[in-house]
Amino acid sequence: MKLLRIPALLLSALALAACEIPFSVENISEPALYVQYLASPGFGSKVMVAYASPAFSQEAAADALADMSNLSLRISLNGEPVLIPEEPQRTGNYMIFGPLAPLKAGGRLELGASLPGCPEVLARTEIPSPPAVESVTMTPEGDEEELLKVNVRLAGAPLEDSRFALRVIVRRTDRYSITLPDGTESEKEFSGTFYETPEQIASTADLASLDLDAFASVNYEEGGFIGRGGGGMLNLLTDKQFNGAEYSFHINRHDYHAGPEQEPEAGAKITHLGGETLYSVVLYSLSEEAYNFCKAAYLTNFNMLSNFGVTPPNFTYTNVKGGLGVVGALSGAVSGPITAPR
Amino acid sequence: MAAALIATATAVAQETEKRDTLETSFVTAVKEKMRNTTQTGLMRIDSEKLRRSAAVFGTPDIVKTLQTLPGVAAGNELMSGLYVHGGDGNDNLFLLDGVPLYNISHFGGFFSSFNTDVVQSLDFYKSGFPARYGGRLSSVVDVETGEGGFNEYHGGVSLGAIDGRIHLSGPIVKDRCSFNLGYRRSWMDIVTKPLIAWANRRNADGPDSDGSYAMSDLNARVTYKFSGRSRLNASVYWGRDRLRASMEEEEDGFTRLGINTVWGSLACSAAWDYKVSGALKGKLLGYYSRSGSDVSYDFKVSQKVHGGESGMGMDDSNAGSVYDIGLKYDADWYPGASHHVRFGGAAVWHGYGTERNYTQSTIIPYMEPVVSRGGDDSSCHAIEPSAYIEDEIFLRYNLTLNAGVRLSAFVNGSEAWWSAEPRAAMKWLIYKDLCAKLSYTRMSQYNHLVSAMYIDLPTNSWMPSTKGAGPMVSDQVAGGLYFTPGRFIVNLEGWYKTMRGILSYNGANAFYPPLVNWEKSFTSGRGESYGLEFEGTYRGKEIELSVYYTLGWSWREFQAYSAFPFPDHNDNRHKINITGSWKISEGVSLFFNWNYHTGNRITLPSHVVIGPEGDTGLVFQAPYNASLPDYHRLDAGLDIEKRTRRGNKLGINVSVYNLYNHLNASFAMLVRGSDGKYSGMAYGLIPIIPTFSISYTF
Repeated sequence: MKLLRIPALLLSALALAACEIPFSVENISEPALYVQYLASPGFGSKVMVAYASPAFSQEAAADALADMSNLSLRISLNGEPVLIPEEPQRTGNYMIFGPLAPLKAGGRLELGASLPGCPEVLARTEIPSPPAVESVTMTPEGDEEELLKVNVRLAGAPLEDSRFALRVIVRRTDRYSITLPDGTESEKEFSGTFYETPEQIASTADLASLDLDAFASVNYEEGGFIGRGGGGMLNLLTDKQFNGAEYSFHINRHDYHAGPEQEPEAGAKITHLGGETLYSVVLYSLSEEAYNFCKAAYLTNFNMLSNFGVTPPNFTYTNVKGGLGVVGALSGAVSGPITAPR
Repeated sequence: MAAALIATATAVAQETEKRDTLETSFVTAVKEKMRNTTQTGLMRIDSEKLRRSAAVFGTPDIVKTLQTLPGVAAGNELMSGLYVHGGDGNDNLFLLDGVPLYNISHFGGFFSSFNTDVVQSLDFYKSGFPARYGGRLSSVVDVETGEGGFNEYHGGVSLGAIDGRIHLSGPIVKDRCSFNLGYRRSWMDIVTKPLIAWANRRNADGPDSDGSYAMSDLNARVTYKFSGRSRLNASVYWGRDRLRASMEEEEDGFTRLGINTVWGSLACSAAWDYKVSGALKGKLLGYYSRSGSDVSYDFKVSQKVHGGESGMGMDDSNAGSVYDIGLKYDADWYPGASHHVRFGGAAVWHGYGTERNYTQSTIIPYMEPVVSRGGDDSSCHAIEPSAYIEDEIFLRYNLTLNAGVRLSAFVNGSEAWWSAEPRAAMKWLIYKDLCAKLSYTRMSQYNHLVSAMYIDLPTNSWMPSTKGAGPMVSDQVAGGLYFTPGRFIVNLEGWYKTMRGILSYNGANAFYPPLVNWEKSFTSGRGESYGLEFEGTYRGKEIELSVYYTLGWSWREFQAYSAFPFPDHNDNRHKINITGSWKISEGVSLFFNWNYHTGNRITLPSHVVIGPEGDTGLVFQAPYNASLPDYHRLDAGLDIEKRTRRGNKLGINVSVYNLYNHLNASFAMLVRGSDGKYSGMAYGLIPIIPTFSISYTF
C-alpha cells in the first residue's frame, strides 16, 4: 500500500481544487441479470443469479426488490442438462441455487438464465483439469530456520496463458494441560485452520519487484462465491510466474496457536504441552473467465485512479452475454498435509 | 548559458540590422503538398503555422498543434497525449532530424520537447506511411530543424509566462558553414523559491516546505557544405527536467517527505548528404538517442518514546533509461521519368537500463534501526536491423502508385522476431483540382512503454519485446477525396485500422510499474478504429480559416477486462476544431482555436444489486461505459509586432487559454444523493489561463 500514498495525496489535492460538474448518465444500462458461478469439480458448487437494476434509475434509488418468481436457469455440461435444485435460497435480489452435483473436469459448461424484463443471459466456460502437481517440498532456510521455502513442481512447464491460484492452508493442533483450582487435571487438544496471507505466498522475486500485483488474491470458499466472506485467500498466478515447471515462495514459520475458545475458569492453570503444524498446498487451474473475474475483483480495491482517467479500468470483467458477472471454473490439486521439516 | 546566449544575440542583432526573411522562406505550399503526394493522412506543418497556434502559457507547442488535427485525440486536458486513429499514445514515432526520440514532453506532458524556434517543418503521417518509416503503429511525426542562414544572422529572444527562449542562427563560415541554436528554460523556480522561503518564515510553527521545478532544452545544428552536392549536418538535442519537493516537521518527533526527480533526453546525430549524380542521392545518418529518468523519494516519521526514537523510514530510487545507437542510410534514385525509387536500411542497437532500489527501516528506541533493502535491475539490450524499398511509379499522367515493403527484425537475447510490412498508396488525379487516394499499410512496433498510467511520467520505462509481450502490429486502409480549388482545400478521408498485440497495464494502480517480469502485469489485446475526417480550409491574404471534423470510433478487446469488445478511453465520437487567423494590419494579427469533442470515456458502475440485508452492491458491466460531458474550449491570441528603426521586430503576444472559462471535466465519479439516486459527478480543473510573452527577433 505504500506505493499508493503519493498518488492518493496528489489526487486528493486535485480533487479539493476541482469544480463540480454534475452530468447525466441515465442511459448507460438496462435491467440485467448478474450471475456468479465458479464450478469446482469434486465440490457441489452453488450458482448465484441476481437482479441488477440500472445504477442511475429510480428503481436503484429506491433499493427496490424485484419479482424473481419467474427466473429461469439452465446449465448444461457438454450439451447434457445439469440438474438444478428447485428451491433456491433468496436473499435480497439474489437467488442462490445449489449445491449442484459435483461436475467432472474437462467439460464445456454453459449457463443460460432469463427473467421477464431482463435480456436473456448466456455464458460458457471450460472446466479445466487440475494441475499435475508432481511434488511439493518444504525446506527450512535462514539461521533461525524460521523461513520455509516451498517449491511446487508440476509434471511439466505450464502451457502459455495458463492460469492458476494457490492457497496454503495451515492446520494447527495444540495440546494443553489444564489444572482447575480444585486440583483437577486434564489434557485437552485444540485445532484451528489458518490461511497464509498473500504476502506470504508471493515469491521472493515478486516482493523485490515491488509489484502489488504479486499479491492479487480473493476470498473464496470452495464451491462458493468470491468476495462474499467465508473461505480463505486465494492467490492468483499465471504461467509467467513459474520458473519452468516450478513455482517457489517463502513462508514464515508462524507461531500459530489453537487455544480454548472460552476464557478458562478463574484460577485455572494452563500449560502448553506441545503442538503440530500441518500444511496443505492447494494449486488450482483456473479457466480464463474465472481468473479474469477474480483478478478484476481484486483490482476493484485499486480503482481510484481510473476515475481520474489516468489508468485502465481493469476491474470490470464479465463473460455473461446480456448480463454481468462470471461463469467460470477452477480445479484444485491438494498436496499434503505436510509436516514442515526442522 | 542563457545569459551568454542573450548577450551574443543582442550583439549580433546590433551588427546585422537585417530584415527578417526566415519565416517567409519556410512557408511551404501546403495545398501543393497535399495534392501532389501519393500518401493519405499526411499533413505538413510549417514553422509559421506552428508559431501561430496553441500557445499555451505563451509558448507554441508542436504536439498541442497536432492535437487539433482531425483523427487525433488529445486525451487528458493540457497533456501531450497524441492518440492517432485509435492509437494508444505510445505508438507515435517522433523523429527530430531523423533521430527517434523516446521522451517528447516536459513536466509530465504539459509541454512538448520541440522548440518551435528552431523547427523548420514537420510531416505528420496518420496513414499511408511510406516504407522508409517504421517502428511505431499509429503515426510518424518527422520534425526537421532549420539549417541556419549561410549569409545572414537571425535570432530572437522571447520571455513567456513560464519560460524564456533564445534563438540564434547564421553563418560560421560564409556560404560554407552555418549554425542554428535554440535554448529554452522555465523560470518558475526562480520565482517560487523566495516565495516558499517567505511562506516558511510566516508559518514558523508549521512544517518547513521546499520545492522547485525547472525544465530546459537545447537544440543545436551545424551544417557544412563541402560542395553543391555534398553537405554534413550535425545536430544535438538536450532536454532536462528537475522536480524537487520536501516537507519537514519537528514536533514531538520528526516527519519528512522528500521527492527528487530528474529526467530528460539527449539526441546527437551526424548526417552526410551526398548527390552521386542527378539521378541518385543518398544520406548516411549516425545517431545516439537516450531518454532517462532518476526518481527518488524518502519518507521518515518518528516520535519520541521514553526519551528514545520510534518510527519508520523509507528510501526509494528508480532509475530508468533507454538508448539507441543507430546507423541509417537512405537513398533517392530516379531511374527514369516514371519512377522515383527510395531504398535504404538501418541497424539500431537498443539499450534498456532500469534499476530500482529501496531501503526500509524500522526505528526502535535505544537500538540500531532494523533495515531491509531490496531492488531489481532489468537492464538488457536488443538489435533491430531493417531495410526498405519503395517506388513512386507514375503509371499514367494522372495515376501514381507508391508501392514498397519494409523488412525488419528484432533480436532480444534468445528471442527474435521479424516482420515484412507491405505499403501501398495510389493517387488518381480526377481533374486538376480533384484527386482520390487510397492506401494500405502495415506497421510493427517492437518497443513497449511500461507505464501504469496514461500520463507521461518519469517513472515510465521503455522495454523490448519479450516472449511474454511480443511485437505489436497494425494494419490500416485509408482513402479519400482531395479538392483544392483556388484558395480552398477540402478533404474527406476515411480510415479503418486494426491493431493486435497491444498492451495494457493490468496490475494494481501505482506510479511504479514493475520492472522484473514486467510482462506479467500487462495484458495483451486488440484494437479497432474507423472513421471519417473532414478538412475545409480557406487561405486568404489576411484571413485563414480551417475547419476540421472527425467522426470516429475506437474499440478495444482485452479479454482480461471483458469477454466482449468495449470502447476505447479516447473514443470521442465527434471532434471539431475551428482555427483561424486574421491579419488585421501590418504587424497585428489575431488568431483563435475552438476545440470541441465528445467527452472522453470513463468507467462507472452500471448496476446495483440489492443484497440480503438491503445492502447495495455496485457492479460493472463494461469498461468505459459512459462519456464525460462534451469538451469545448476556445483559445485566442493577439500578436503585435513592431519594426524597430534597425529593422528588427519587437513582438508582444497575448494568449488566452480557455477564453470563456468553461471548466471541462477532468475526472468523474459516482455519487449518491440524499434521495438515494445515483448520479455522475465530474470535476473540472483547468480555468481560463491568460498568458503574455514578449519577443525580439532580428
